[in-house]
Amino acid sequence: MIALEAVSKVFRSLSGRRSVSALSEFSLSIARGEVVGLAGPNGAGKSTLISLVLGYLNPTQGSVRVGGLAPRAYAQSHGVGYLTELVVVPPRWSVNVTLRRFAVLGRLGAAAARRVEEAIELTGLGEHRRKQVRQLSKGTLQRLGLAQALLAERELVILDEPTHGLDPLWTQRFRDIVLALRRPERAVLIASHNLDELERVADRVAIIHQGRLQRVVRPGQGTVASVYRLVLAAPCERLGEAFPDAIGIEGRPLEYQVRGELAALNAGLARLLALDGQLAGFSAEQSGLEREFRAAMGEDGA
Amino acid sequence: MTRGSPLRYLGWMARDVAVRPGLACLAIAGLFAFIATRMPAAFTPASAHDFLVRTVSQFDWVIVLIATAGLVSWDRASGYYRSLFSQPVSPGAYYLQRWLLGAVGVAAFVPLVGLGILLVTGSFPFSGPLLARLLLKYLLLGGLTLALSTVLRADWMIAFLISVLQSVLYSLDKNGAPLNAFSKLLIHALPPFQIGTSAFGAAGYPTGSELTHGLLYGAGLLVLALAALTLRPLGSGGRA
Repeated sequence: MIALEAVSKVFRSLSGRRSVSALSEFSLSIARGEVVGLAGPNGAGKSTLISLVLGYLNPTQGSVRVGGLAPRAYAQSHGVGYLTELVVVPPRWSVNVTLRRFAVLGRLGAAAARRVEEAIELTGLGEHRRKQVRQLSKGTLQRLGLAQALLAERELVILDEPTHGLDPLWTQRFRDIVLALRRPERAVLIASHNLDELERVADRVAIIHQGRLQRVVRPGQGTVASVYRLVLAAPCERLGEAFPDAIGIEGRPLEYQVRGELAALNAGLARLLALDGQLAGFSAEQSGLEREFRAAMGEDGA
Repeated sequence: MTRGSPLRYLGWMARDVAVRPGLACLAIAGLFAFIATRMPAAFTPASAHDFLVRTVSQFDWVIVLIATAGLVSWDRASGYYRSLFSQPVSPGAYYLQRWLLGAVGVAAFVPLVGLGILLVTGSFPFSGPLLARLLLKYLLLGGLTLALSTVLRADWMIAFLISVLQSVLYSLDKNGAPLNAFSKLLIHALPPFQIGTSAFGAAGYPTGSELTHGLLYGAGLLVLALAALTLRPLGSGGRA
């Protein structure tokens, strides 16, 4: 669905003396049926990448194809379900009017009224439907952006920082919405700082830093090294036999940090129980994705 | 309707034109009507007609700039284009449609002022040549503003300054003032805004080669604007 091949984007000053490389030799393919996350710190190049996929920017080098077409040609003929990082809508429009307008622009025809109602229902905007956009809170505005992006059944959905400004309840609901977006014919690209969110919803996560693709991680496949917290119910002298590299946590005598791939961790837990160790808790302290992310950023912890 | 056509959005767009530039034009029409009530002599049909022509002719550039200012640049600067053109809509067709609706709004200004004058004087003036001149002004000045709007934020201001420069140079040249070669070149290169007055023949309607020049120039500006909207991505302009 999306094919980026050796894409570079350089922004130059008017005089041409100063330039900033926003993307460099970036290659990534996203197939239909996939949900792909895009993770990276501020200024990593995520928004530039999305602008290239939507045809709002042209690459300095390389090629971008969407559905086999140039990005703008694809957007003009098929439309893209797109939630912008900052939801910008004329402030005097009401929620209802905003969605009706986008339904008309989105060529929903006779289904427009029904789809508007469904989007309002899905994003819980019913009580706000008559409010003007300028009266909405940040989270409600974000939900309006999400409703707009999901109005039509698009084959390509791009969500840029979708949980930005959402409260925990709506962050949770957002996950359900994304899971319901999965279709064999649809590709979903989600750019987010929220690694936990990406780990839960994405099939693959592309980690981008300083305009370069650092690595592509497949969350939850058990091959990713992770950091976990092990909590014992009582002291266990033979803990080292089950987890040789367990590190005690300062001030918490029964708590340890352990690392390893899922298979090794499970084997360690089985050994610990066989050694009569009493387990009180075991939880992910640093997800596999987070660990990969930190490693990609060149931080300690890999 | 072809793919990417914004025709289905015409109703909403017409509403936007009626609200934003429309209300401003209505206020100006009201101001003209108010001025009419302060005229010392009673209006006859002929004097009402003269009043309409004089007032609208003096402020036609304001109406045109109100109708076209920031057409593309505002959407680009605010970031509104990002949601707008993720929809199956062609930017070129969208802004051309918006520009044409502006022309309809500007054309409606002449009968609107006439209606204001009717309310205060009892006489409804209308001038076909005035309407034609206003539309020519819209084609040239509004076309220039649209073309500039595709690349610059201060589109209306620059269009206004260009129109002033062209008018000054043209007047100097017409009055026999010695101009250097560059100034003479500018007179020919800049939009021929003078046709709004000089191209009107004995019949009162625009005729002649000068008019053809103006129409072709205006069409060229629209082609330039459409080419920019097609070839230059809307997100470009970000600098290092």
